[in-house]
Amino acid sequence: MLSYEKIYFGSTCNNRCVVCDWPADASSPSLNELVAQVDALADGENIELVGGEPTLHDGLLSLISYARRRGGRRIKLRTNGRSLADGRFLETLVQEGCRVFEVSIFGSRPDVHEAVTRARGGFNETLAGFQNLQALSSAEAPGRSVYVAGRIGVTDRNVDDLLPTVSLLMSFGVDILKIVRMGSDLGITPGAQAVATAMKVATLNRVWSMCKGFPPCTMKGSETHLMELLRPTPASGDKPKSCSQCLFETICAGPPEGYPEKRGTREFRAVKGEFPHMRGIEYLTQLVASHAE
Amino acid sequence: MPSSNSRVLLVSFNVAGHDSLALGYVKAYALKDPTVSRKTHIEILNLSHEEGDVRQALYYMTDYRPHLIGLSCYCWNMPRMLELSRSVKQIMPEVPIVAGGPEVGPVADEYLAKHPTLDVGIHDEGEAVFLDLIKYYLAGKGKLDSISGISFRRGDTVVRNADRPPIKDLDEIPSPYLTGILIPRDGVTYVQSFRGCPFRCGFCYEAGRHKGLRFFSYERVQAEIELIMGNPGIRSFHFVDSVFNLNAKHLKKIAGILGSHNRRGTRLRTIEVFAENLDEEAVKCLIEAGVQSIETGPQTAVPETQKRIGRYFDPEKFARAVRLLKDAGIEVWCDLIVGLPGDDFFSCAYSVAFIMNLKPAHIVMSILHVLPGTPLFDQAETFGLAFDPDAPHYVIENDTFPFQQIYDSVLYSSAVTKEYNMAFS
Repeated sequence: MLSYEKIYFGSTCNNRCVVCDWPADASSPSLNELVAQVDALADGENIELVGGEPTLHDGLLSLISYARRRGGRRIKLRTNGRSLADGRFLETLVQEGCRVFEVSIFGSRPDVHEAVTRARGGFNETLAGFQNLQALSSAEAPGRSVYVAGRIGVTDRNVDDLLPTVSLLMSFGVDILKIVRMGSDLGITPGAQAVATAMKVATLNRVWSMCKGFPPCTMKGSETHLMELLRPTPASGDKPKSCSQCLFETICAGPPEGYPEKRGTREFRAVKGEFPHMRGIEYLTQLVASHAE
Repeated sequence: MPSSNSRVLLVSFNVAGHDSLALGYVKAYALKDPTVSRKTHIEILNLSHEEGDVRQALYYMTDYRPHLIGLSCYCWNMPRMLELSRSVKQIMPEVPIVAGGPEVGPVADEYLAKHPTLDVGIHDEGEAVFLDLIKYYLAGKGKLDSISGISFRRGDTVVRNADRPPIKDLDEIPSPYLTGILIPRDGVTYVQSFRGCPFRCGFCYEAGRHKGLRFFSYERVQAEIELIMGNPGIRSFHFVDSVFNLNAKHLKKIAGILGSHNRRGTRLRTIEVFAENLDEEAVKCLIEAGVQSIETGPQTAVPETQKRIGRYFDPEKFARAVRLLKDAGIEVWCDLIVGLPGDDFFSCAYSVAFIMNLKPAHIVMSILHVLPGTPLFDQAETFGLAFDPDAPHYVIENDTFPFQQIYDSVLYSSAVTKEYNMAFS
């Protein structure tokens, strides 16, 4: 997976997601502060713009332009996609140098999506954003091509709608799907089953999908899709005792924070015995470690 | 229609708008023969692999009415060549069809046995063999049995003649450019300074061929370069040499020739280099040669896999070379093959990550083709290799890489490298 350095646009957002980790205050850095973040990047080649919702910031276009001038070669915008419903705005973003988009969605229908985002009308805008991105992708005009990742936040409120959501995003021709467990209420086992099925369907339709937030012991048979294994980093913290015997002990963070207290640890069982991929994962671990250094 | 007594049509479907250099050589060699030159008209039909159509070729043939047809066969165009041969036999059953090229050569007998529309298969290098076939078919000289380097059909059986040694002195083959057979065009002109490869990579056709290298004379290469670089319309061209930096002496010589004739800033694009062998001196030569971009491995970054497929790989030297090239302003394109025996999903993901960390300009991902004549093809059983026996011979699985993981790896690598390749230069 490609690594990006992040530029934080603050927590201002036009969605009010029930699973959002950001504080409720609408703090927003000035353009100068954003520029300072770019200047402070260790590398500056791959830059990811994250919020809140970066498209609401007046300085977004200026910052993209500045990051390009500073040597940014890939500028990715993580967005809820609502502002991309404005096709002209999207074209301007692309012209300034943003060509990679990661757009979040929470359902295949307004009621499901907006039950999470708590922003009425937002679903249709996000959909229009995907449509505009698809139109740009298929335009094949030089310098206008874009890369689109669909990011599905999966919670206890929308897990039953995951498969239709995946189908919806595939209909927009997304390049990749990222399914991320959000909030603390989704049961790991039913969540993992739904995610594994959805990823199988995506694979069958030749769209690559990855997921995050499900320990490898809960995703047997879907290990190749786990972001935690594709970019393995040393993991520590409180884990059930049985985790000490797991093959993935050094790179798995264990159950999600707060989960054992609510639901116990019975769902998490050490992976033992032969795992055919271990050599490749070890190579990846070494590479990630040396890159971090 | 030309007034010559005999008409020969050579056909190729080529990628990215190129003309077939191979067919240029075949024609140039045949026309060296005074009788053939006087009595035979040889036409090359270059069609686009991406946009070309078998019926275009057929349309051309019905107009040209050839007496002999030669097909230049590669893994990517073979299905179309077979379709073409079937169609031709429907309307011109009397016209012999000769199939040559790397797709047919190593398995010529099998192709003839399986496809009755092909009359002759050329085992290896085609220039001298095809000249003999012209003489046999169009002037009635000799017998098929005595033409070495071919397999042919006699009734229901396929007869295999002895192989023919390759042409030792490559200058015996006249230059298709200097003879006016091929007209250099911008961005799609190939030059060759030698044939063969010093390496024995398991997936490569060159590895299964003759040992040793054969060279065109530097004078001949220089004359071609003078012609190409003297054309103000040519802003860039390519070398098809298996390794442009074959050794320091050869690199210096070729770079000197290119540098001394480059008056218009002509650039060399996507030449193949052996990265581990590049040092500061070699990079200087590449600059002198006008190299704009190079293409190189590592195909996989996993040392065990490299060893298994007979490749030399030194990750540190490789990384250093990429850095040197980038610092010199040369674009680096890195290649990755999915499906190699020794790899699996996560080692393939590691290779993608390894390459991305080097920050090349572009990553080229492809699926393993188990090509006839390659060590992997010959030792398929050893590697547990399952692959499509028909061209383009995509790998299905091997002893370390089950099919589902190969399928996953192709999707993953395609998605990630597409994102990587979105970069601004």
